[in-house]
Amino acid sequence: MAAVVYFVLIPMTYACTAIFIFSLSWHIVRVVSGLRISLAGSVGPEKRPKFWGSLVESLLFLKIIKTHPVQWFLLILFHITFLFLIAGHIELIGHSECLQIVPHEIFLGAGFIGLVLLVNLSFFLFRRFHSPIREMSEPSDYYILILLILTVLSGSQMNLARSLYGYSTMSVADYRIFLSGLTTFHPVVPDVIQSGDAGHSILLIIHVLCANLVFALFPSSNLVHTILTVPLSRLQRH
Amino acid sequence: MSYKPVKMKKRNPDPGPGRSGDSPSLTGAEDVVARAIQGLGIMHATACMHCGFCADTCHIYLAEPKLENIPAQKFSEITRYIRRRHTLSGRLFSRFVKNGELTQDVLRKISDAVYGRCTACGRCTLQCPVGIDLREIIRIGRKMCAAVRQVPEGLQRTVDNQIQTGNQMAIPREEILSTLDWLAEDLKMEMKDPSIEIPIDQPGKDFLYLINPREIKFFPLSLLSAAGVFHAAGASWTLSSRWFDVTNYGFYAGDTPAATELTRRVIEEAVSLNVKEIILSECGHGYRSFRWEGPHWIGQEYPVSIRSVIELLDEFIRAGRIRVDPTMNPERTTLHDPCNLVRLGGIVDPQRRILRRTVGDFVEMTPNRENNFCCGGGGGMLSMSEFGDVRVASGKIKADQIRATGAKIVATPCHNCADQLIELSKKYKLGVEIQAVVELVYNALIR
Ligand code: HEM
Ligand code: SF4
Ligand code: SF4
Repeated sequence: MAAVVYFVLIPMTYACTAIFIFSLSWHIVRVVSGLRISLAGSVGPEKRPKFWGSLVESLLFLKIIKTHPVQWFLLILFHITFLFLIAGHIELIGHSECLQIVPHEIFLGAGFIGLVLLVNLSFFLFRRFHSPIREMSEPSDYYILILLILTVLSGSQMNLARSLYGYSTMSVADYRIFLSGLTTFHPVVPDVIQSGDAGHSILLIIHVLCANLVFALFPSSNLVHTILTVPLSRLQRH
Repeated sequence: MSYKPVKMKKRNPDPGPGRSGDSPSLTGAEDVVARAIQGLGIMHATACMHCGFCADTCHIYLAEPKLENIPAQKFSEITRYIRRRHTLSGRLFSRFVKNGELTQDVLRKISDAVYGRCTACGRCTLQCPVGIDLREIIRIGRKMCAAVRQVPEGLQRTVDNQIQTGNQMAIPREEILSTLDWLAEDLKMEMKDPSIEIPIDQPGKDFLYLINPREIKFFPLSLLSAAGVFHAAGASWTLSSRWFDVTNYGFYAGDTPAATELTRRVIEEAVSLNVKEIILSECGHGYRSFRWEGPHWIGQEYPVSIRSVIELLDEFIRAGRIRVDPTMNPERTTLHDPCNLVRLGGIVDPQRRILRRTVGDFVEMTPNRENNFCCGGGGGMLSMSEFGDVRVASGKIKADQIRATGAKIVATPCHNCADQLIELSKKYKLGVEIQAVVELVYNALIR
């Protein structure tokens, strides 16, 4: 068991991060290197709104605000919460003054981030069980959603275990030792995690395992393209 | 500006009825994709979230809400192939799955979707929250099909007609000349001015006027009106008896070599007639092709400028070169925005300014401008009888829009849309008359 724990937490995390960085860069290099060709080949009248206007439009999903208001709300909520989620993880690596401008406990959001994401992700998943989205979906749409749900579920359970049920053996300090070790390339697995004494350290293993898989799959899933498509598609005129 | 002569690119061998000539190799289609996915193309082709938000933007889906009519579904076979062939994960796993292979069967499915269930109107592109240019992917599909002769028969025949005879209706030159002859006589009588003429092949004029062959064959009133208005404005213009066709079915089919050839002919005709400008008669896809796509096809800027007759009429009225009286068109009139002229062409306001000056009771339909619905006859649909049912059924959205305005006249700056709207008026008992914008202007002329 100790070997599995070690493998998931350290070599696999590095490997998946490497895949993430490599395939994301490959993708970006490929798009940017072909950019000149596709911009030269772009035709059509000027788009309205122009670049910045359409950037705002895309980032706020304004296109669907009128036609699908409920889904618009959930989407916006989901993506904003996601930003908070990233901030929360940065604080797990080390203390950050600028993120503590509004003083708060770690993890950011007092358990609500996980909850909101979970509701949202379940909505995205259950939506896929209904026609016509069911028929439109590809297998990869499900993999990534289910992995995200498992990640968010185990993550939020870890948080609740500490804050609600008083499991205190595995603490923020331990997470910081682990994550800062990873980021400074001196990886260590704190004893409480390794030994499994914490009671909820299995949640951490599941959390990291699923997150690793999400990392590795993300650059080749349709999710990654959304990030690049939004600003760049508007440069091109069709 | 100088002009470098363009050689005609090799077209697909074996002209003949479309789909019959199954090409044994699919490399043509593969090459099309390899070129199309450079740069941003790959993102458009792989970013779909399968969220379905695009569904209710499409008139074809709205008229018949079924799975295969959802815009994103229409390109799913294309993007599956692209993911398999051109993404990292696709290449890694393609050995284990069949999903996304390109075969004759798959191409036939693509052909049915991109020609038979989509008019390439681009309305769905406006809605996609991820920013995918759905229409562009559909166009990739059309180019793939054209490269391996999977273009539906009616459309292919029209392209071949246009390449072989110079006009998509294959009207012989004598017929053209005799029609223009009696049109000129009619015009003289109507305008009570024996000096009027319809100039043909006259060099050194200000502009060359391109027309839709339909104006010669079935609806000469719009040509007569244009000639009348040009005369009233004192314009210096000419027609060409050789290359006069404003349409470009190569564009519809996705047959780029054909589209290039049709563009080349007209530009060279303008150069040899030594005109300053080309004016395009009312035609949505003709405007899109000549104004936006053409320079890319022939690989250079045009040596002459190019405008739609709508812009010219607007200029005539605003500059006071013609005077118009809106009471001459008293009936309630609405305006249909052709997708290729408005959403994809960028001509939005001139036709509105014209109608406000020439029509007594002008009402907009909703939605309008860039958001307008396709009439159902776009994308070459009218030439493909095999998809006639889809075309008429999907026109219901437009018919409802028209009915809601209570208009008696529908003005549309596109002959292709006009044909569809005439049919819709009969089928859905709208009781409206379809008119070109220039006809309304001619009617309102203070002579
Ligand atoms: C500005 C960039 C982004 C745009 C425009 C965008 C757009 C979208 C859209 C349109 C959906 C579809 C929702 C639905 O199915 O109802 C979606 C879902 C989703 N997005 Fe984003 N997104 C962006 C960034 C991100 C990022 C950075 C992530 C991080 C992982 C992400 C994760 C997700 C997930 C997990 C879903 C649910 C997937 C599903 O329904 O299958 N998005 N996004
Ligand atoms: S381009 Fe037009 S016809 Fe084609 S799917 Fe989109 S909305 Fe429908
Ligand atoms: S709206 Fe865009 S992302 Fe959503 S299904 Fe349609 S094409 Fe795909």
